[in-house]
Amino acid sequence: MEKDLCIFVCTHGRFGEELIKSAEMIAGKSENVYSFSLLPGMPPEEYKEMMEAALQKEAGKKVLCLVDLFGGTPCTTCAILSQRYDMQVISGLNLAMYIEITSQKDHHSREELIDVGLSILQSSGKDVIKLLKNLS
Amino acid sequence: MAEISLIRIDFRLIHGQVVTKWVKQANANRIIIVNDMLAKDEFLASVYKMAAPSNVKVDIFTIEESSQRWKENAFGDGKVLLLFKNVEDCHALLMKEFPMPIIQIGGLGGGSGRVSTPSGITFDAKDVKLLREMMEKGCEMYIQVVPTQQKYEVDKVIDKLDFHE
Repeated sequence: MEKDLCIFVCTHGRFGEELIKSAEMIAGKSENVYSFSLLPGMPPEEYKEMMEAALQKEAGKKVLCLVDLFGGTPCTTCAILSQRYDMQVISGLNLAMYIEITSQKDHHSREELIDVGLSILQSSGKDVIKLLKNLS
Repeated sequence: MAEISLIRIDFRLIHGQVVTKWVKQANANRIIIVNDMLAKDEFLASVYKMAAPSNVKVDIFTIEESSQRWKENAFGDGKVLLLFKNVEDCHALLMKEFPMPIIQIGGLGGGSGRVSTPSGITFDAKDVKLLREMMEKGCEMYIQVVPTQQKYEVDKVIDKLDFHE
């Protein structure tokens, strides 16, 4: 539905870059994905400029930002930029969320993808050994 | 009277290290950001209010307002983490006779004219001048980015710096 949707992966350190590579191992390559790594000592202003350069390059497209930590600098930077750009932001990024959103992004609206992302986040955390014991 | 459990200077204000570590370390249920620009920008202020943990109330005051409110009712109640974006703002409030026995420096950013130190923090000549004045006022100042990192005493760190003044 929204082939013009860009996914921004915004994280502390290179977590996002590596998460994208990890996802490729499992689900293959995804299009229209950008990662933004906040490196140690990088001022929030510089991080914001990096994101703005990409937002201007992709002007006219909708953006969904996946941020690692609620309240962290990637999160607040996205929130600040949402005042001027058409962006939505969800926090709590994990591998399951990223794979599900990139797999479904050509078939759903951005609003639906937000629901997809948040529900996979809730269902992907499990007590594995407890589940195993319940089965044996 | 509120208890000020941590005074921190950090150019990123509310961010990862603060929300995951320092709020708990300080056992704070309030964050007060002292910053003139932020206090006057409603949207930006709302971003930082949103970013705090849900059990922590955030207030954003100007330097003048912080001084007034402290004199009126000592910020009311609660345990407060007091945050400044830079040395200049912290110095300004201190000079208004705001009590600051111990101050933590957690990040001062980068840019030209700034010198990095083994503590991981950068300083410029102006910071050093203001920090010396603050220590002369009796403030104990240390550098600590995250709780597991060692503390560096500010006077020892800045004594080694040379800005060719």
